[in-house]
Amino acid sequence: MSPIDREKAIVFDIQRFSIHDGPGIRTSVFLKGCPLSCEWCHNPEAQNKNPRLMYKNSLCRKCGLCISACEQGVHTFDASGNHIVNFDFCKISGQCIKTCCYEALSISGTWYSVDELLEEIKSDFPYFKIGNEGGVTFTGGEPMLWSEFIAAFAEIAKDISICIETSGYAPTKAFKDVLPKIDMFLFDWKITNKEKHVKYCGASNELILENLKFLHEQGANIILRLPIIPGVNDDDEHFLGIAKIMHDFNSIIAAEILPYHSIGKSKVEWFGLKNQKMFSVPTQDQKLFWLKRLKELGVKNILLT
Amino acid sequence: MNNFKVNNPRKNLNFEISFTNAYRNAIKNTTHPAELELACMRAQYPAIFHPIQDEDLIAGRIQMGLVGWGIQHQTGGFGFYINEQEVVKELEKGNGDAQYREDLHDILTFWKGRNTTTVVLNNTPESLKPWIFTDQWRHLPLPICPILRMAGAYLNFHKLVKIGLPGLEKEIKQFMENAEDRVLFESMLGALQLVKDCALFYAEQAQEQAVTASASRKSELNSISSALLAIRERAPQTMLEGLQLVWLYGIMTPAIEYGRLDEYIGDLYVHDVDNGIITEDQAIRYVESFFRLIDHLDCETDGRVIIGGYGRENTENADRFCPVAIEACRNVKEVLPQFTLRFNKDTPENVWRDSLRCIEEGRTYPLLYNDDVLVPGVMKAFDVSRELAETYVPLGCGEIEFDHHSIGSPNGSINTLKILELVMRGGYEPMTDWYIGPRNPKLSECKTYEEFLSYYKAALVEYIEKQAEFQVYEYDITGKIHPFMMVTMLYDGTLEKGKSIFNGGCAYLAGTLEFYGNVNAANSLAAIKKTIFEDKTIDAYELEDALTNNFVGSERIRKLLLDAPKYGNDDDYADSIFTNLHNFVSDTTKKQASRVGLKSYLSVTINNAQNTTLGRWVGATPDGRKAGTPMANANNPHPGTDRRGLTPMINSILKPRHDNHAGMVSNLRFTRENFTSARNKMHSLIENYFERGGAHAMITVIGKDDLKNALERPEEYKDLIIRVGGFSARFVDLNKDVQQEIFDRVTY
Repeated sequence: MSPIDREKAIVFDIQRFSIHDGPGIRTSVFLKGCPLSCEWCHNPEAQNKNPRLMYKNSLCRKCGLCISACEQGVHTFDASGNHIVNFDFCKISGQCIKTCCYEALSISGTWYSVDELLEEIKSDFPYFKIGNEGGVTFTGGEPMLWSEFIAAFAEIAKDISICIETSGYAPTKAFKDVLPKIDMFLFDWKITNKEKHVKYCGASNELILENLKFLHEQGANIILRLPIIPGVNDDDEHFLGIAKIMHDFNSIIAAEILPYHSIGKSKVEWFGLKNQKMFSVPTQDQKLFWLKRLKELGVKNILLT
Repeated sequence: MNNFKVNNPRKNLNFEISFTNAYRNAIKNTTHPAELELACMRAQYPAIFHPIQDEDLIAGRIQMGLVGWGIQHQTGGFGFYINEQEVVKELEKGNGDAQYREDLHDILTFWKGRNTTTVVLNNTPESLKPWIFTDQWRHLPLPICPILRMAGAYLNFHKLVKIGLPGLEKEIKQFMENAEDRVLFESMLGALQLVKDCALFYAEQAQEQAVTASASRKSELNSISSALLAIRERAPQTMLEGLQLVWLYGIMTPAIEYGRLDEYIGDLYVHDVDNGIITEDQAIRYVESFFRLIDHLDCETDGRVIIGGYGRENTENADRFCPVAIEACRNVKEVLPQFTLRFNKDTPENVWRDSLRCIEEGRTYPLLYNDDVLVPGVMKAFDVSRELAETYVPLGCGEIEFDHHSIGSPNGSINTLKILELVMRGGYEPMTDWYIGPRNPKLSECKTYEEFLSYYKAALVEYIEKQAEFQVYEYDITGKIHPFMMVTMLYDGTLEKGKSIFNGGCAYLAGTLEFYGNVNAANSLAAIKKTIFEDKTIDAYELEDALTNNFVGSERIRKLLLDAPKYGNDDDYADSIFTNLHNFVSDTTKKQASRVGLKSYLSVTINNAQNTTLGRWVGATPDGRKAGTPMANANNPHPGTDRRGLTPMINSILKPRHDNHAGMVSNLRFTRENFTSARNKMHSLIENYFERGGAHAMITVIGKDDLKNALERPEEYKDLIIRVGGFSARFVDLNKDVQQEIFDRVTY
């Protein structure tokens, strides 16, 4: 793996007016690349660090101009007139993008320097000031892969509050280096059982727990993020694990349940990814049950988003 | 055409026939416009009244005829009017007997040349005829179009409720003594007598209905009857009497704006509730009934009811009334009234929160107007004192006037995108293959962007000048034909001067010009500047061809145009072009007043369906827009071009000034989920928008029904973001099955 340029990062989305990603009104900067491969990931295209072609079938008007524009033969029509995209041939030349008037084609993943990113979010400064709570939230993917970039950004954006949404799976040193500059961590706790964590996420959770402990001991502001997926971790084993964490790391501000949703499945098609496993989407009753159960187990500051 | 909401609409045109005959007789006996108007009013009221319906707590339902007397098309028609198309339809049905059909032919031919719209158009001054020759904007690709009407009458209901009909009669008699035009005053007294007669008409009807009514309904009908009888004799003393008087007077004006309700009803409300005459609940129900009656007029736009703001005589009582009105707005979930809140730093917290709560529930009302930006802005734009500025009221779709003091009827519309299309082609109109307006060198003959821009500006000036001249002409000719006595009696200064409202009586006669297409024109200018003159990636001949062919075969060009800077992304390149264009047209419009003899003449960029209907006859344009498709609405970015998201979009719409125009609409759209999950943040965002100079906001909150629309018409919902923490996508981009799934799961 080539060294990540410390002054630049690959951004695959910038979402303004984020009201669910930290305090106040924030701008979420989505950084590409993730060391994990959680089966329920709603940004599956972000697992890979590299820029990738994105094709939205619902917007395609089948004009066929992208076909002639592409030298690699990425775009074709099949016998029934459907637009087929051979993502693996794509060399990210951007030629097809230049021909599409319907926003069906784009590249996901653009290099930004810290200065370029600051310039891009200038529009949002007035909104950060509302309630003096807002700012930037780095998310992804796993933003800690770009911890040096984040630290460099914090240097030039001294007055802006920065939050990080993280899986916690990164070298502890990275957390150490970035900690003084971060106002809040939105920290995932996915599955308590180590083996299950490997099975579903592609790596164990020991390092994640260590990092959580480290942050707690250093007095970081932490909100615990709890993706709950029916049939995977909506059981007492995990809930007890959550309760233990909230008890042991008692400075964690709150826990937020993130119920599984399947909206991300559109992205499998948009990026030509391998078919994702689908889980069942919880009902409102199920969600309320989880909330109730966690409260019963002693978790005090818990929210359902 | 209005579909008045009455239980049993008339099924024949007997009223229209008798109205025509009454008019015919009247013109034999008089030439005085006031006497003629009174005769028409007598022929129309109570003939067009409909029975009190079971849900009404106030009397007065109407159905304007296909022929009759009105003040603008939403009140049946303008002046003496006929809806020819509908009368012909009735003829073609073949109903009735031979006499009836003969009479229908009679009214068609009688009104052909006599209806006010035709009279006004036919007498257009010669100098204006090449520019303004038809009002058929639905059918022709027009750069400018006159609107034949007198819109925006905001009567002094505060005065009416205070002094009542007898008080008004007394005033008229006082001024009659020294009046030049005694006949006018006598006719005004006749009109007031007619109002009293109509009060008796409905009182008797209420009593008749009471005989067979249930116990609770009987009591309501008796209250209606008592109120109607009381207002014949004296000024209103209760809230019900106040509302009843205002409503009855209003439907006979005929008026469609119901003004500062908290000011003219607040005192009576407080009196009634404090003295145990009615409970707050009953007060809410009266206001609900009042609102339902406004809605029954089905006039699409207008129907304004305003609460809050500076300049109310009785702030404390008015503020006490506000929550009652907001509650009524929450409960009466109809298109009208256009419930409006004027707010400022003194607005009580509960009024503000109740209003936002109402909006959150998906009502779109109240429309929010920021006094602290608008009052200073209005002072400058209209050149008036703070005191007068504090009486500002938005009419119809948002044009600003002064309550019962000015009329700023929007009597023209201008399509700045169409004009750009013409100027690019040297005055040639490609859709119908003719030349309109000024000739100038084509875009392909211009050496610089500035040169092209100067031709565009010159054309805009000419069109604006013509509209201003037409505005004055329309007032002049209308004033000679129609005294509109009901308006005249409740406007400032008219009785003192002894002149009817449009015949020299109005204290502050103003005009407004409706602008459409500004956003697309600005985006087009930005694209021209960038691609043709700066980057030189397109040449002007290619562009002209591409536009003529609606981009078929020229997708490369279309893509370059679409990618050029667009207003709505907090990008100064495009935003400055927009604000410069807006300032140019606003300043040009403002300058016309002194030239043509109006107190003010100002631009408005407002919200109604015209951006769609006028867009139909504009071909493909340099902003990448396809031929015939809708233009952007008011101050908002063209749908889909605000690519950077909500916060840069708000930054853009905050850039235009508010001290050189008479109204600008800004729309914001959120999902209900935004509010239910983060209410405080939403309120803070809205407050921040206004603190940073936002003048106005119409906030639509999307619920489940709208999601359904988004499934069917995604091009209208490109801005809809379904938010989940850490994820986002535009709803309309998601695959249809996912959209359906989200829709199915949505609980709000």
